[in-house]
Amino acid sequence: MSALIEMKNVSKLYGNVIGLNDVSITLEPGVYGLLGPNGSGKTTFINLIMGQLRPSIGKVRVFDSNPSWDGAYLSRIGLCPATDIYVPQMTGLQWVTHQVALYGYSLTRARQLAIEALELVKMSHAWDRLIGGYSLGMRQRCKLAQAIAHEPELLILDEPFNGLDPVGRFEMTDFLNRWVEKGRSLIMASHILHEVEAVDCRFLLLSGGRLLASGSPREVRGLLPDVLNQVLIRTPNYREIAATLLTLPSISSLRLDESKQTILVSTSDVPQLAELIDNMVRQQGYSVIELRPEDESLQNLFNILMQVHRGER
Amino acid sequence: MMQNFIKATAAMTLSELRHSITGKKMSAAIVLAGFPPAIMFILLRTADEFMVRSPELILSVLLWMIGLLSLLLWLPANIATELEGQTWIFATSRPYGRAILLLGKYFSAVIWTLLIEAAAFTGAVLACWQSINLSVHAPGLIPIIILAAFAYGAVFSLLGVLALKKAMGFAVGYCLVSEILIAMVPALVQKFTVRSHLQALGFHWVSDFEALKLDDLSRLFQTPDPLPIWGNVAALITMSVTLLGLAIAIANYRQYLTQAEA
Repeated sequence: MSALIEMKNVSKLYGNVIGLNDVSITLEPGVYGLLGPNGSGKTTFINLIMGQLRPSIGKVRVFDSNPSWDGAYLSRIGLCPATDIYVPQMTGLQWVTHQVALYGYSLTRARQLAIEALELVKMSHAWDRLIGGYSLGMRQRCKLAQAIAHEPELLILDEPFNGLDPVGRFEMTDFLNRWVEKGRSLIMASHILHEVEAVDCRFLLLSGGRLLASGSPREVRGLLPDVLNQVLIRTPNYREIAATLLTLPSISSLRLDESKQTILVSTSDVPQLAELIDNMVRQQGYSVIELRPEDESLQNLFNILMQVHRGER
Repeated sequence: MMQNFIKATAAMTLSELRHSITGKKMSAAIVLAGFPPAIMFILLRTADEFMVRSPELILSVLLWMIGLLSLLLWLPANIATELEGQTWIFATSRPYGRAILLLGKYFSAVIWTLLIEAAAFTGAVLACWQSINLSVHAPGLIPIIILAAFAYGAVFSLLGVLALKKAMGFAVGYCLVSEILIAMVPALVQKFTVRSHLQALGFHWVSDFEALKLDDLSRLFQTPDPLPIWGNVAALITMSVTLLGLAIAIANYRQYLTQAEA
């Protein structure tokens, strides 16, 4: 099986700023989570794959093609970029149809594929409304629809969870898992660790333009056993929930903010924490307004990886 | 692959045309299309000397002006906004997307301009209907208008890709320097302007403009060492293809930052 992507000593410079720094990696068909804080080089990595940028040093090959000179391989890729949609005067269906037609389909066929894709991302109820009236989450779904409509071999998503509400996040995760089950490849860039973890994938950890680590979540966590995740819980039952959480051995610290009714938890086992809270909500009728990971945990992970990289740990 | 490329370019052109149906652009189009008939009508009423001798010359110049203005207003800013606004990322993630994007904008601008020119010509014919029959000049004017739209479209596409935010300024500068000043210089350099070839074709196809040769103004319109008709047509086609090809090559080669990187 030929490699999806090959990068050999790839660096990308923006003047004096390094976007990507000496990255060498070969990705076989599969599922990858491209993780890194904001400004770590994730979008640069994607744009090099898409041929939008050329490496300053090194070589990139995608589907055995040179992205800088041979654009034909792009028909095998679907890209859902972080860039928002700026066509308020078009309906969702019109816009997705137009995007699909740019692959060379007839308008009739493009419309048919657009309808199927919009149904898949659960936008069939609103596709005839103007994009100007869409929420951020709806625009995100349209972006996803235009990326999957032509059934690409590789789907690339840049911050796909941005703007999605909890239901939208769940549906996005569900969709991605179904995509992966079909045996198709996926690269998902995010700065939120748990969003990427929700899909069974291998991690590519970027920071400061460097590829710090790659591997399965277990392999990466094995490298960093002492890295804790911070989770923020907003609930009017913060006292009761905090008391229960303290019984968990995986919780290393817990900070209450009574004015905001929040609990900031540092844990080494996020799934266990989520399960416990779910049980409390179901069985004891507690109300949880918000449950979200804090970016700092990932930043912490990257800081430690950077220290390991520099030989400081 | 070529079939897909053509279909994708057609889809992009159609989408661009659809986007152009806005109040602002329609108003601009109506003003542009209404300008030649209005001027012709006024000149006819005032029995202007040129109007009496060569109404087709006045009409040609007016159509040239509105064609140039239409493309000037449309193309450079449209291309630059797309590239600078980073909205191109969806189109350019398709195979040969940058070429498709640029060609779509080019063809839609040319089509839009030709529609304005057609409306302007029809309006002018109707405005002068009772005194002069301008429709007899249609066979000569139509190919010149088409060649002009394709050539100027290519020039402005190139300027849009090269100058980005400053594209409109560069395009205005180009019109003033190249199409007005250099085109009037009686030297070989004149041959590098679009206008000189259009003018030469006008001499052959629209009118011999004999009347003009009687006055001093004729010097401004004289073309040294005139090319044969096919030479002028070939020069305009070559200019269009070369400049558009260059614009596509530059758009393909250039790297444009996305929001995340910027």
